[in-house]
Amino acid sequence: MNIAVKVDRSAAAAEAYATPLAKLNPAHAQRFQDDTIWPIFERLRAEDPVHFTPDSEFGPYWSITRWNDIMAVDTDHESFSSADGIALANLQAIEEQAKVMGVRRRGGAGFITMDEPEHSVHRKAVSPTVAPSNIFNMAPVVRERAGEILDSLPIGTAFDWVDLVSKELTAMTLATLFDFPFEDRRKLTYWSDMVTNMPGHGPVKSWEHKGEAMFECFAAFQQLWNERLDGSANIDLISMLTQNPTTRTMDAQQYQGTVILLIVGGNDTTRNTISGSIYNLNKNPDQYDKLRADPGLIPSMVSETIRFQTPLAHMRRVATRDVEIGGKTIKQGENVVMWYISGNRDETMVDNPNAYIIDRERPRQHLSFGFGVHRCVGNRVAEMQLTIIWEEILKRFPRIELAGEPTRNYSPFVHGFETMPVIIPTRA
Amino acid sequence: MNDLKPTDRADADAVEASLELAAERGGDLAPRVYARLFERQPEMQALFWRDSNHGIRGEMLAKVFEAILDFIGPRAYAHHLIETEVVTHEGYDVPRGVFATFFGIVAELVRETCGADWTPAMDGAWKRTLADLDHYVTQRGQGLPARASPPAGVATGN
Repeated sequence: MNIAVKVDRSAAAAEAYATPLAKLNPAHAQRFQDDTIWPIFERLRAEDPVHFTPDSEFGPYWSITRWNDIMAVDTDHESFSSADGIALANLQAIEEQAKVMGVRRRGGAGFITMDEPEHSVHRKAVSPTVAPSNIFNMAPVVRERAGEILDSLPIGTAFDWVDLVSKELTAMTLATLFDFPFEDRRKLTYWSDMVTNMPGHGPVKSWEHKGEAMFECFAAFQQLWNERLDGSANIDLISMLTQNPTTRTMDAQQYQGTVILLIVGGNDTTRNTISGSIYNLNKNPDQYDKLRADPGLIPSMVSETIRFQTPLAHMRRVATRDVEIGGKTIKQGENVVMWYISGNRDETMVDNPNAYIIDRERPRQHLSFGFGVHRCVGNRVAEMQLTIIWEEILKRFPRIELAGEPTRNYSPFVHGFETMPVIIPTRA
Repeated sequence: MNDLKPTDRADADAVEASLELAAERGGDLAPRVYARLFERQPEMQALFWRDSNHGIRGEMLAKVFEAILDFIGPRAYAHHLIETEVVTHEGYDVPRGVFATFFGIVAELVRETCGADWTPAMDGAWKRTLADLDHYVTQRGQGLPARASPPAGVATGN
């Protein structure tokens, strides 16, 4: 439900330490929505950094919670497969989804759910679109659109920052990357929300509703695919897929998976970091003052927010053989969850990790984009958008203030905000 | 796959000692490392167009030092990290040869910073370490290996 509720954080912390380790299920979605996950991960890092949950709504799974162990898993794509999917999936959700969408290929989210050597071939097909040279060309367009969004915001009246800014900017950029009909751009964020939410959360009313949205998305992108099969030398993501000899012949489900990957991946990091920056700067007014006094801190503020927010809380793998991590043996076939959100707060790697410090010595030291072959392909695009929107914000608005508590996603995967009421008292 | 022997203890000690010495004497090596990189491969400079505060450059070099220390020590992740960074950087228009250039420049600057205290043991240890690192850049990174499929029937992601 999209209602912000007061949560007793001290009771949640007490519960995190009172629960027997064997019963700790860090992926419990309600804790993410209530923002009470932190003591769970603090305890696991200290007492059981490679932790096994034998029974949960996601089935049995391992949790990797310390920085160095996450690096070891993330970079070892031979021992840890992505082919079965990269997010913990609710077992009931899999069943319900199969009823409305049929049984689909395992994984099903494009090249991020492929292993080598297939993965690199598909990834390289789209990577030129997000390479530095193309981002350089995109930046003025993103700046112009960011300015238009900010100039349209109400002054002195509360509004939802997630809706009017975070979603709108990512929708505009995604529409550019896909060369998607610009007037329909908000369908991209809508479809992303339909993918990542369960009924009762976000815009999803029922499994049937979710299925309908997915098929609407697939039909729209099938049309774009058909239009771009003519071989014209465009550099949008769909044309890159139709021009590459390998991806040109991929089947419908592979293409649909790739579309889902690019839509969701293009949305979540940027959207939730934009919202996260507003939230954390308001909760840390000394940092907001620092930023206003020195806009040169924008790039490091962006990186610090990406660490602090960790917009995708985890990535999942499946062990392809018995592997020892942190003194424990993970058996072949077992689910392994790398909790980036915990590694980013690892006290042994990051100084004062629970503090939001926009001018820390190494702000780019974070796990949020992952490492290894599946490192976020769009990380440069995300950072570019975030930097530009803040450069434009500081030119226009002395302050953007929280006008209430945000509502957070009900998800152990997408760590972000459904709504965030703000008010802009005045223009500069 | 960790397909090279771990770094010899004496070599690891020599490389680590040279890094400590360079850190004490040289301060921040980043400006000199990147100046030399751009001198040798000028086309790399344009790729840093967003790096207004040099934060990207600094973090990349810090990661390289961390990776070298892991590589000569526990080798928990560095060998995998290097070969996969080669692949992901190809997507950013960075040819794999740049990795060898970069590691070489780091070694050169450590040697120059150590000055008269650079020892034959450090020299030999760095040469062998660079050769081992190069293996993961040029051999292992050259088309990542396939492996057997994992067991089916595990929960699919969203």
